[in-house]
Amino acid sequence: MAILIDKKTKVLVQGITGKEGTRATEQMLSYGTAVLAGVTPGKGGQELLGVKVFNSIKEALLKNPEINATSICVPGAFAKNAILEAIENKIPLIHVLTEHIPIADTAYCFAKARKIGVRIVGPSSIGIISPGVSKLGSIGGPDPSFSFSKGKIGLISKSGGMTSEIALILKKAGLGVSTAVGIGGDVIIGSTFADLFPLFEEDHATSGIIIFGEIGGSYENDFAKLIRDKNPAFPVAAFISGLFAQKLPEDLALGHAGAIIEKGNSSRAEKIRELRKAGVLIANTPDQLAGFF
Amino acid sequence: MKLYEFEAKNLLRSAGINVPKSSLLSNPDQKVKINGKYLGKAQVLFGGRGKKGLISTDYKTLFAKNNVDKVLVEEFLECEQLFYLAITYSTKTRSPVILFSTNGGVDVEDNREIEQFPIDLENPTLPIINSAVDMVVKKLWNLFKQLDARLVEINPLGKIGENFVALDAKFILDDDALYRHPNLQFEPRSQLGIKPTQAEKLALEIDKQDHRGSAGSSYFDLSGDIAVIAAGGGGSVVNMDALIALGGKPANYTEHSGNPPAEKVEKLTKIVLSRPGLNGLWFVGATANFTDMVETLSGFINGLRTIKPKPKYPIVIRRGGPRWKEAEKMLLLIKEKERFDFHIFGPETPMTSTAKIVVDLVNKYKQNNKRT
Repeated sequence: MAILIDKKTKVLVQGITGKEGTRATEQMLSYGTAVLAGVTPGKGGQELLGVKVFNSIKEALLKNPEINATSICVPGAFAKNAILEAIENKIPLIHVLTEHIPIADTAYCFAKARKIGVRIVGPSSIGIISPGVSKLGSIGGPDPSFSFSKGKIGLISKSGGMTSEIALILKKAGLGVSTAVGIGGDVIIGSTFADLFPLFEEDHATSGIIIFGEIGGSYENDFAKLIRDKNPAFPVAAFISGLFAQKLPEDLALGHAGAIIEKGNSSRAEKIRELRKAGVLIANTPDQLAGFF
Repeated sequence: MKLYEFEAKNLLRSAGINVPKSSLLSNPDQKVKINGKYLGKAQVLFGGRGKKGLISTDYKTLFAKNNVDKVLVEEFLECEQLFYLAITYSTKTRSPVILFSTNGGVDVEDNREIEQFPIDLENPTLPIINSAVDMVVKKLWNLFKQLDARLVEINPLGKIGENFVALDAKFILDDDALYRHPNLQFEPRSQLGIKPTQAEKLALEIDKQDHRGSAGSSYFDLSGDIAVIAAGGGGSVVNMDALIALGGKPANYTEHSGNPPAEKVEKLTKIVLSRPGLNGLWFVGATANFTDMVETLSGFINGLRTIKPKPKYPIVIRRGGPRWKEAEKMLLLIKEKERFDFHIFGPETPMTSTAKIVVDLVNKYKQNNKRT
């Protein structure tokens, strides 16, 4: 078992004929993910890597009604319409790889998705992987098995690069991952640490959780509160970056839009304090994470 | 992008929200066209101006302060009450939120009485506060949407009779939405809210000229002696943390990601290494998901080769990802042929543990230099 994706996941790729979309499709197919169709408006009828391309999701679903997940790889300016199209067609799992989507667009899509009852993962999400089973997006690159081995730890990370890095640390320690989810580091994201925790909690294959968090926003604090309430029987560990940012003048936005130094609970020190209080094990460097399991 | 007060006030005025009469000066000898009492306000992008002596009736003296190019001289208005009004995004509700308090002014963040009104974008309805304020809220909300802003803040919002005047304003626009607003033209500014250095300006240009991947759009100079070329928005910060925790002094912060072409990495490398007084270089990143290592590191090498005098300091490289093995072979060959002091590590070495390696090597290099 795993969360979000398994052997029954049937994938649509939006923006399949673009550079990112083609790359993600190629990687997913080689990992054994069932990519059933792609969408690029105006390019319907083509075929790419053996996958049929449609002009719209509606057309793709007509031919492939079993599609239950989409990976959105379109440029930022087209992302809002692509996400809304997926929501309107009620695709239950909407993965958004696209980076640099205006916050206003993401916020609108999130409100819409919440109302319709579908899940968005991302934006700026590298992807989701259940090692040895399936992957969605570009997570793990062309050779995911290099970093990701099958195991019992659920991994949730705001950073794509750090998802693979932490998975590799776990693999070297003889541990592995049940499912790893890149949630993205944007200000507004479709799935937070706290949103995903209940899924891992119910998953029999998961017996520990690691989160990679950053300064800014409140998602790490919300997670801390949830862990405090739930008091899970398995270990939960976290690495929160941003020590360096504390030494800089206030109000500096780093690479991830969400990593903005704000007042109060968004500082690294405050997040770590809240997580510790909730019983979460805190690593000072990512390679310490393996030692908690 | 943060806006200066005068820029924000121009936008407020165009949205129909009152602002004080003012003259914007770019030198102390310009004429001020205000009758009666006035106040000079240095135009800077950081807060707490009052406490830093950047607000004064003696506006000419403000030009002598650091980072001050422009001074906004405004009529001084007596207000009955100072309110606080802002709109931003909340990660709690994952929606826009309107913040309002009848107790605005300095240190409003310590004020616990700020009311928060989340806006459901599916069915947006604005809060009903009181009829006079509601008009300002509506205009500000429209401006927030129209500008794709991340923050529009009026503090204080002065009440004079039945009218409201925005006495100060802080706006942050969403960089990712600026492409939708070609008519908004603002002069370049540093992320630190102060004037950008030459290197910071050059680094910003890299992404402007070529949209493939990113390199240099986050770059700023720091005061240390270890040059850093880090990869990945998340990993770069993790590595800076490790370096600082071990006492390393970075000369800069920068990151690249999303498989930038070699030419962009080359440009960034040149900018980073143009700093005098460097004692080491750390080229570091997590195991990449799709950034091509041969492409990236070819760019790095091409940049490194142009640096005069040829760097003798230790260069610690830690990377991994697509085509890493080929890239590693290339680096080993260059190390041998061109005699750079390369220390090359792949994904088998934890990323942050190379922070200690670079700090130790830099210390040794500095000791050796002292002796000779």
